[in-house]
Amino acid sequence: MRGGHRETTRSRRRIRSESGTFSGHRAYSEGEDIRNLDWNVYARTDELFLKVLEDEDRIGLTLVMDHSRSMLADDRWTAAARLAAILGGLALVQNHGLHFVWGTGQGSILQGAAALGRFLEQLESLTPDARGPSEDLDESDATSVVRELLEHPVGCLAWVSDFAQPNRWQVALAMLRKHGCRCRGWLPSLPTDRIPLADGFTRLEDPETGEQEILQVDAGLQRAMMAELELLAKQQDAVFGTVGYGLSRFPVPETGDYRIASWSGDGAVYNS
Amino acid sequence: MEFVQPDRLAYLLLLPLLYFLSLPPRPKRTMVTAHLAQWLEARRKLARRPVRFRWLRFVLLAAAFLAVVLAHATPRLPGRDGATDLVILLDSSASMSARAMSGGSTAFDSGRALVLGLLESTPEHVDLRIGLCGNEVRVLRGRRSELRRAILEIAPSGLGTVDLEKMAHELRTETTAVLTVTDGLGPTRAPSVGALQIVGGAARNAAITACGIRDSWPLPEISVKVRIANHTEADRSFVVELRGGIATVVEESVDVAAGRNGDLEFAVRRGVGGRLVVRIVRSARGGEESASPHQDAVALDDSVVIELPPPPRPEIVVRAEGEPTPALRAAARALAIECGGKVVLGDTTDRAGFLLMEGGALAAMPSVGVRMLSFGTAFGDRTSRTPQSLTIDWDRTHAVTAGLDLSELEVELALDWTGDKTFAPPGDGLWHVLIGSEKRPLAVLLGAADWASVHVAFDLKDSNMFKLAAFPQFVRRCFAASYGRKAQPVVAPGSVLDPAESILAEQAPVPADRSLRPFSEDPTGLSVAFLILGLILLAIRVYV
Repeated sequence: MRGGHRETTRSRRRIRSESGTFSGHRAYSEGEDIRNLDWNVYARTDELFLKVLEDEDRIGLTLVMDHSRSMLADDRWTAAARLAAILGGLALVQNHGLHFVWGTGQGSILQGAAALGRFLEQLESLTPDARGPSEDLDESDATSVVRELLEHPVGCLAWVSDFAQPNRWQVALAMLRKHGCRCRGWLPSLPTDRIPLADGFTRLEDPETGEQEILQVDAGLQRAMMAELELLAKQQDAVFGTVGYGLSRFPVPETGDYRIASWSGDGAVYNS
Repeated sequence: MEFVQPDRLAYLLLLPLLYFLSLPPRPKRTMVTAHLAQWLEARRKLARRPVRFRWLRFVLLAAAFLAVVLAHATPRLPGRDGATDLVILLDSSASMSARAMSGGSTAFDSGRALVLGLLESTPEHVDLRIGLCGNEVRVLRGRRSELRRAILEIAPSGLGTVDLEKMAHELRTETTAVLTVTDGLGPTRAPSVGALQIVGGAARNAAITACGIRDSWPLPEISVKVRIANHTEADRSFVVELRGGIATVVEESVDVAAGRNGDLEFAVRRGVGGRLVVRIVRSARGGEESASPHQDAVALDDSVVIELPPPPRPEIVVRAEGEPTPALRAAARALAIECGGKVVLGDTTDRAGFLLMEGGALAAMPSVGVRMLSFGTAFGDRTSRTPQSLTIDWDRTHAVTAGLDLSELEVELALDWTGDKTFAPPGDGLWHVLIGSEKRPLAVLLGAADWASVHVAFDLKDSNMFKLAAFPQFVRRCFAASYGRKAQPVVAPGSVLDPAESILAEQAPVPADRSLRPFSEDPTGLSVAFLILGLILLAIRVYV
């Protein structure tokens, strides 16, 4: 996150120092950064207008939100949305450009704190992919998303996902690394990612494939599942570690828990 | 295949229940997870099966259940109809002891070996009886080991008087197989029904085929007639010996042509009585005397045993009301001389071997076992004497009076025993009128098999009986009759075989051997097989 902070600073500096490609004006809204006001226009018209530059020159954070159906499991989607709100909100309030991407390429470019509301509205309206279970984002999809991202300035890339199948991300992450992108994975971490909660005869359903399986979960199977979850975590870390990126696990707070006071690269800091 | 208890097949109606029990349990909850792959991998590493209904496992379980239900219904393969009982008629007559001319075992040994083999080979469920057919049928039955021991202990003996043909016919039924093991010799032929096994072969044999004896008891003279049968291939001279019970051992020889009979008659005197053995002791062919006559095929027919009664030597008690008449005394003395006894006068009858009584009266009939001859002795209250008519007759067939001339017997007074129940003999005793007149008994014989007493209804002095020439013989015969069977010589039972038993050289044509018909076979139970099948199916189900 510190790296990300530096990137943001550098980007802001670039926006200030470089005029960029001027694309026009738009009316000022209350709360927007006054540093982008075109004072010359104000002098001529006595109205406040903001200078609008080419978006690609102003992107500070690209936030990719995995909204596949697997995010529905254990309410991981809510945690992911809260995490995305934090990341995207931080970028916007610091007047960074935010490229918010979800699905297989849909997205919007937001700029400035005034866009925070619109960002949150978009985030709130976003629901996990309504496509059929078999239309899951696979490895080629992730690669195509990355190709689309690379057509624009990426800035700092934050990828929020459950990374349930880490191997699918290897190629996409390698492409990002090849193009010099900075990337960090954000994994909303659930308690069930470490300790399986199932017990007795339980029907397990994969939200992406719709596959169902009945398991008789006992202590032995729970222990074996814990080992598998630990192995999965190692695979996730290994996939990101191989390309030099980091993967942060964001502990999902309980519903209604607003005690998180700040966020850093070391994790959440809770109010006492 | 058939079922003993087919009603138990109704348990198959539980198959639908088994199907529902085979369904996997309904999960308590459904959980959406992104880690299904990890769950499946964890289960795979624990080598656990998926919790789901599998038709193959259900089919195996249903098949195992079906096998158990079928086993419970007691399935079996039908058995084979046939004999469930086996009766072996083993000829144990004397001829079975014959050894063949080639030597070796006897026919009975061969038959015994055959029976022992059958004891081993006959299925256990077959009820097996062995009838030993000699003089009579002796039936052996029981466990095979007991039968085996009994068979090893028996030996052929006696006459083959059992009708094998009749027995085979009577015993043979739908479920009873009869096997006759015989040499085909003897008075009866081999049966025409049932299985048949002929044992033994041709042999040379000589035999005593008949033996007669005329005993003059109580006199010592004895006459013995013996018939020798020569069933050898040549004319022979046979030496026959009489030994035992007589005064001296006697030997005589007779020449008998091959295939013919020869008779010998011995006149001997009684010794101490008892066992008199008549035996062929030697035989000679053309001057070559054989070492022993027992080398012929059958030894049992080479001798005959006669039981000779011993000489009586009784104390003859003479008892009379008053002085005995001289005639009675003289008769007593003569009897004592003839049989070696002595005359005792007096009232004591306890040690009396024979009681001669004249006149007087007795309160009751003579007790059992009292041997006596009374003249004019009254019994009970019938003491009156009445005149007797002149017409007197006697039993000309009875041993006491046969051959006696009593035609000149005259009786003046006699006791009237007409219709007197006093003389009813005890038990199955005899009551026989020896001398009578117009349905009025004058002399009766009262007694049983081993004793008798003769009672004459008139006194000697009231008749002329003591003057008759038959009187001494009448007294002697009454004495002999009073001893009953004890005074009769007896040829030991089974001692003289049937002549056909001895003819071994020329066996009559006998039927060919006939084998036993198959025995029934018990149904084969399949319960265990079905149980094992059910277990195998369950074992397979573990790995499916």
